[in-house]
Amino acid sequence: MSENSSGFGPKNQFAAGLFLMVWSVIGWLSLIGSPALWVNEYGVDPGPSLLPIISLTILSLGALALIGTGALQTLVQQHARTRYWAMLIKGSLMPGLFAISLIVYITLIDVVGFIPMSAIFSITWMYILGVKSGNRTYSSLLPLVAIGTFIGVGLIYFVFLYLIGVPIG
Amino acid sequence: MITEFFSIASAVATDPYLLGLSALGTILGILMGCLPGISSTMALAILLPVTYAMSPLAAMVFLMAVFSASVFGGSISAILINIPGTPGAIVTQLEGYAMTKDGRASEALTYSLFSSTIGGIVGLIILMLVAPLVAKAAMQFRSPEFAMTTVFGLTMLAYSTPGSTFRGILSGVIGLLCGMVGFDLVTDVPRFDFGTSALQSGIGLVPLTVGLFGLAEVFRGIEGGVKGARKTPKLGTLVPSFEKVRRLWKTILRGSALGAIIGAIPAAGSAIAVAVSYAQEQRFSKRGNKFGTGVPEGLAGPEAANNACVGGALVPLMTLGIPGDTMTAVLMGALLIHGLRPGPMLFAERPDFVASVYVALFLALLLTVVFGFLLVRHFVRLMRTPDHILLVIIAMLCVVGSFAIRNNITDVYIMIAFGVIGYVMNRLDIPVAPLAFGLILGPILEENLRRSLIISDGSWLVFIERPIALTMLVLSVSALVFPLLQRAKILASNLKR
Repeated sequence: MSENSSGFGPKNQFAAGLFLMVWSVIGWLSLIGSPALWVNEYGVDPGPSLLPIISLTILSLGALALIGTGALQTLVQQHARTRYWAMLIKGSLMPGLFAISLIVYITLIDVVGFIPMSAIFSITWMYILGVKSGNRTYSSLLPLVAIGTFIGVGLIYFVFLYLIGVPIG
Repeated sequence: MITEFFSIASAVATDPYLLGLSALGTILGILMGCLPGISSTMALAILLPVTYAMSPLAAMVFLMAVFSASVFGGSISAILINIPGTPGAIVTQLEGYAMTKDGRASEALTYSLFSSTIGGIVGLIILMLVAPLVAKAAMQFRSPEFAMTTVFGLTMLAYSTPGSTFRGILSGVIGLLCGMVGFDLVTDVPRFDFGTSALQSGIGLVPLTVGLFGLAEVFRGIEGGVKGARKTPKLGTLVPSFEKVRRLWKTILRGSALGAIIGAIPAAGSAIAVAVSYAQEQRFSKRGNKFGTGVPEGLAGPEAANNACVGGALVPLMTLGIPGDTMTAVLMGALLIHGLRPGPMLFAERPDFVASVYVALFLALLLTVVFGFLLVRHFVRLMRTPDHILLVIIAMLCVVGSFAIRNNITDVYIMIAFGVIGYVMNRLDIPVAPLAFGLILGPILEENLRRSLIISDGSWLVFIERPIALTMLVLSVSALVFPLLQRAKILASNLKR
């Protein structure tokens, strides 16, 4: 349950601390930039800034603790050189591309329409991921992708757009 | 409550629409539960938007069916291909897959289905017996008790989440902050909206849960290497041998009781229940030394415990408004979307609705047996669907599902953002589940915290002067301090070295 018993490396501690620190900095900036939250005119009500201040304080201290632990561990284990950052970024490339394509997909749904855009998105990614999964030939992959797209897009269209009447695309 | 139970039961049983919804929910639940990569939580999160246009009763009938059936679905993949579909099926694979390798896949599925159903029914009975008593006791709760119970729930959920408690708590705090985005309910002052109108209505639970539990898992699936079609074993007849099942009745009852009790402890979860049940059966069984080679007791006990947890986990949700695990957190979101706030008042104000939850669960259990036996071969065939097809379809479902709630494209962007956040958190070993709990419990905590301070004229002693609030506070602080002390101890010994 504890930090180290889970075997987090110093760079993981540092990265997690940085991630949480980004949240806390954004939170503090927003809180400080909202003068309405700081006025003292709510009587006995502690006001809308109470819980945000408590939460952001916990988050900031927690993030600092993780960064500090990471830094301390790095000092202790200076010899422990890992390709942590490179591996972190390399592993996230494909999911990152997928996220960007999702944003493009939902932006273009309005322009192109739900069915054609979904079909393009689906065929492209089913094919790319199919190739990535290996041991499939071009000829065996295409029919599977076509069936998958037909069933997937068809089902979503039928349930959400036709039955429920979701006005997308 | 009994009167309401039977009147709702007869209403549901004679309504083809509700029966159809329950059947559909059961089929989808088993199917999604057995597909590797789709957890019960993900199934619930993805299907939650479908219920938006339904009445609260219909939504509950559908979601309870998905919830309950997906638990059995998770066991199918654990038994047949050694991949647990749900955390509660982790132990199932030990004996279940061993039986499959031994050519006894059908037998393992039969044990699983029977034990699950009996476990589910025992869990439901315990829910029906215990929940009104807890709700009655919770009627004495006032704002300080509710505030501290919420803090206790949050810290316990962070404590029980796999990984680091400390990180779980910080993740829960991010959830609290997300829950504060938008206009403050008391003063109408905007918070964390960054001057954009898109955030003024707050961050919806559906985009957040779909992003965290749906899209983030898709990203993980893509990162972890996409698998092609899986091979599944051939199944024989799934006709239960009553003699074999009869021999296991003690095991099943033990597992059921354990599962329901452990499930009722906030945040304990099914994974703990099945582990305890497995260890117990190993001790009781004459073939304890052969566990791991396909011993039915090692499968039936944990399976009963796993499904009994469903009823158990509903106890803290229904009576205190604290979700017991990620699945009940999504269920709580569904209740809130339909304007129903779980807690003791629900028992007083809407006993009919509470009864409908019982009926929905009972119906789901019955239908899981029926569809389990009738359609298991077809479910198994669908398990062969390659990942590259599944992941893309799930991603599109996430997009359309999050849009469907408010027909608002901002929700889709929020969903994608939380998908990315969830993925990054996973990579950094920060648990994501507490974030969702924070979003759900945040507004409850804030409301009760502020009300308590108003009542006490700004004195924080109000949380110490009241025994229940103090107990909750002490337990929460212990859950916080204990891991920190452990950590400091390890760090000190590292420095010494």
